[in-house]
Amino acid sequence: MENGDGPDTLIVEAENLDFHYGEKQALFGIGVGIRRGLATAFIGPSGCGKSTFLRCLNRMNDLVDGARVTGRLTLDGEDVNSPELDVIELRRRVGMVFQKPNPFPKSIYENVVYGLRIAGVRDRERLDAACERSLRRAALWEEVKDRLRESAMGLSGGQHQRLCIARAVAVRPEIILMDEPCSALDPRSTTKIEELITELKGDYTIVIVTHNMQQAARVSDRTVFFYEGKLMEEGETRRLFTSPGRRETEDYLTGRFG
Amino acid sequence: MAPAAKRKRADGRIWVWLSGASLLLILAMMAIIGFLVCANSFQVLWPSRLDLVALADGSVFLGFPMNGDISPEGLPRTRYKVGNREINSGADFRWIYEQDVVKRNHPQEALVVNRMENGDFYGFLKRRTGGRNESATESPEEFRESLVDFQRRWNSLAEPPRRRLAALGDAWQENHLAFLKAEYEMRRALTPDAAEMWKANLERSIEREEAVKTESERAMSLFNAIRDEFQAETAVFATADGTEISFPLSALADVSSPNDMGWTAKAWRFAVNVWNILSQYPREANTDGGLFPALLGTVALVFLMAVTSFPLGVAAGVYLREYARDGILSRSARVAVNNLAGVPSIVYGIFGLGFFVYGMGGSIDRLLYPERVAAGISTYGGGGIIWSSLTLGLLTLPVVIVATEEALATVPSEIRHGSLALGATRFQTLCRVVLPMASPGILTGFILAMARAAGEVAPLMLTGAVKSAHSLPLDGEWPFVHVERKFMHLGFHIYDMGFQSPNVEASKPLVYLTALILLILVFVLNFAAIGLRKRMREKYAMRGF
Ligand SMILES: Nc1ncnc2c1ncn2[C@@H]1O[C@H](COP(=O)(O)OP(=O)(O)OP(=O)(O)O)[C@@H](O)[C@H]1O
Ligand SMILES: [Mg+2]
Repeated sequence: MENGDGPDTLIVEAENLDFHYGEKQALFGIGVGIRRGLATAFIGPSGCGKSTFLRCLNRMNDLVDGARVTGRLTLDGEDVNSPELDVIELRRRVGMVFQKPNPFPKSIYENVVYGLRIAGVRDRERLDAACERSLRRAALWEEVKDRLRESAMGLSGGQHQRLCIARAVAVRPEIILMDEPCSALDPRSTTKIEELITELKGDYTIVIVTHNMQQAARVSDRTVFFYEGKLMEEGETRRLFTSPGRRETEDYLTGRFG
Repeated sequence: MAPAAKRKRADGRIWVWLSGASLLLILAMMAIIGFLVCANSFQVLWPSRLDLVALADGSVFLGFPMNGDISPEGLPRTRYKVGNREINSGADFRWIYEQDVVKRNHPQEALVVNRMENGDFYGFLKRRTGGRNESATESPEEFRESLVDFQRRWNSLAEPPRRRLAALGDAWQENHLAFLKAEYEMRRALTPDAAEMWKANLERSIEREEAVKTESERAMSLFNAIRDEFQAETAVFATADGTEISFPLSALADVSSPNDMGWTAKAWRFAVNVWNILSQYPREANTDGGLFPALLGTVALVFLMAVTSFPLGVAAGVYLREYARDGILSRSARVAVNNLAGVPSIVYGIFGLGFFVYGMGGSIDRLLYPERVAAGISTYGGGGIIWSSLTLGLLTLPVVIVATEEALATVPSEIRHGSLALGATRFQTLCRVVLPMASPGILTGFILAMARAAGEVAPLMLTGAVKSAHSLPLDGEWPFVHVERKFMHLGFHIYDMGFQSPNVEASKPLVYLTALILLILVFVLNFAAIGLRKRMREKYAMRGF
């Protein structure tokens, strides 16, 4: 795996990517490739630009006034920032799970099929099937199958997050971005989500931002280390954790800052 | 300073007391208003006892004791409603000094006769004459049945010609408008053909006018014949002092003998009175009769207002909060909206008169009905329920906009992002997630605005409310909703009865009753708002956040 860096294995490629929030530059010349079907962890001290880079991938940064991006970022060889690209389509291909679980105040069922409904799917059977499949993939089916019509607000925090994963999975994205998905959860729910990520990778490319080194070590195949808006180091997780190539990486991993 | 007092001030208990006291004061005032309105309304609706009072000078009279006080000379006195306007030289009420009263009793057979004109008559039944089964010995109860029977017969016979007359009146009106149009068009016709056509129309309408006229005369004489026939049936009553007076039965609206009623009879009577007030038309310059047109006018007005101001206000609020960039323009729009909420309602009235009635209404008239304008007849340009409701809509718009904005602001951005990240457009996010979540707040604000608008009077007086309208804004006649018509309104009714009426004292209880109905309407709207908010909150509850 370490070696095959060809265009086939890379689903996302960034090259010399700069990002500005108005006057403030948040990313400096990022160049990285994210491999298809693997779980990639983004680590780094707070404010180093992990979330910013993540949001570049599905262009959620478009929502920020004055956001500006330069450089090259491609998904399957297509320029993500090109004006011809359909953002709606992009976001369907690149799903996202947020730090704070954010289910809609609708029924469990409606939450899961939301993405399909807005894409115009009306067919009952297709929706039902997608709902079951997604909930199973999110390891939530057994817990909620008898109350799909009830409000999603009645679930626990951990269930909320798995529901959000199911919601993202339902539209069959290629990549699922997760921005600190466990930071608002208790240890047991965290374990569940981690197991889930291990389950999902392979079928989906997963990018996870985390502050928890053990978590990164447990779930990811590759790790990217950001520092002050720059990409410091990138590599196979085990290798990066055991023999970091740079001083900053080592300092961060040993808890000397961040 | 004593240490105890010091401690008291230090822990701020005095402020707790003060704030509690102000709340108490407000509650007390609300209770007083509520009590006053309810008690006075109750007096109108509940059949109370009729007193037969004998005075020291030998005179006797029948009346309802209304209220008592101490006269300026320090003597206790009671105010009686004595009715019998034509006998008592027009005065409905009379102050009686307690020291002059020799005797009070409550004869069972004393009658309250509600008449079509001249208010109430209090007295005793003597006999009924002129009917098919005239009687000299009817009991009050039997007389009431005879009256009901008479009214049934009278209505079944008189109603068809009366309706025919009304229809003919409408036909005449319509024909007259057609006549005006033909005459107008004929004079300005460009081609001889057109002139010829309009001339033919004109002649047709002149012919038709003749036909309608003769038809009306026929219907009128038919109606008069029936009326004269019924006029022969009369009832003779005696006042308390024995003076006999006779009325045709057709002049009587209702009789009752309150001294002869048990609790169930009184409760039934109460219900009948409530129903009559709600369903009947006003009589005698609004001092008597029911409130139906005013109630209907108010409801129709509020409804029309809702239909116009709700979508507009919500759309504006959505634009301001969701789409407008935060800049000098959106900020000044917000300031303008907030200021608009503080503009006195009479100013809206003036605007409504100038812009809607004269401006828009006048333009519509000039465009569609130039012939009527030439003849000095206004259709849209003379005030109507549509202009009133638009004016009121404008008045509530700021509240709706602000409520919408605030409700939208409470929807967390994580939820919006969640939707957008799934590939939803901003509009889809708005419709499917944000608006449903904001709907409790929006609806609450809106219904409260509606409740406020329901009680607003000043702008209506300028834009279409009248003291008495000859037709309703809603009726069975195509197109059922007549937005150009003038209308009656509960709030304006209160003003008219209480301050403009020829007999203010007589209509006072009715003023309270109208106020009560208006209050109930507002309360119902407010409770609807609370209930709706509760339901929506349950549906879109944000538990777990
Ligand atoms: N909407 C924004 N507008 C302006 N600056 C922003 C915005 N979002 C983030 N930033 C800035 O960009 C830099 C990178 O932020 P980012 O959120 O990507 O950091 P992060 O690595 O995700 O941090 P954390 O681990 O705390 O989530 C920070 O300095 C932050 O202050
Ligand atoms: Mg972050």
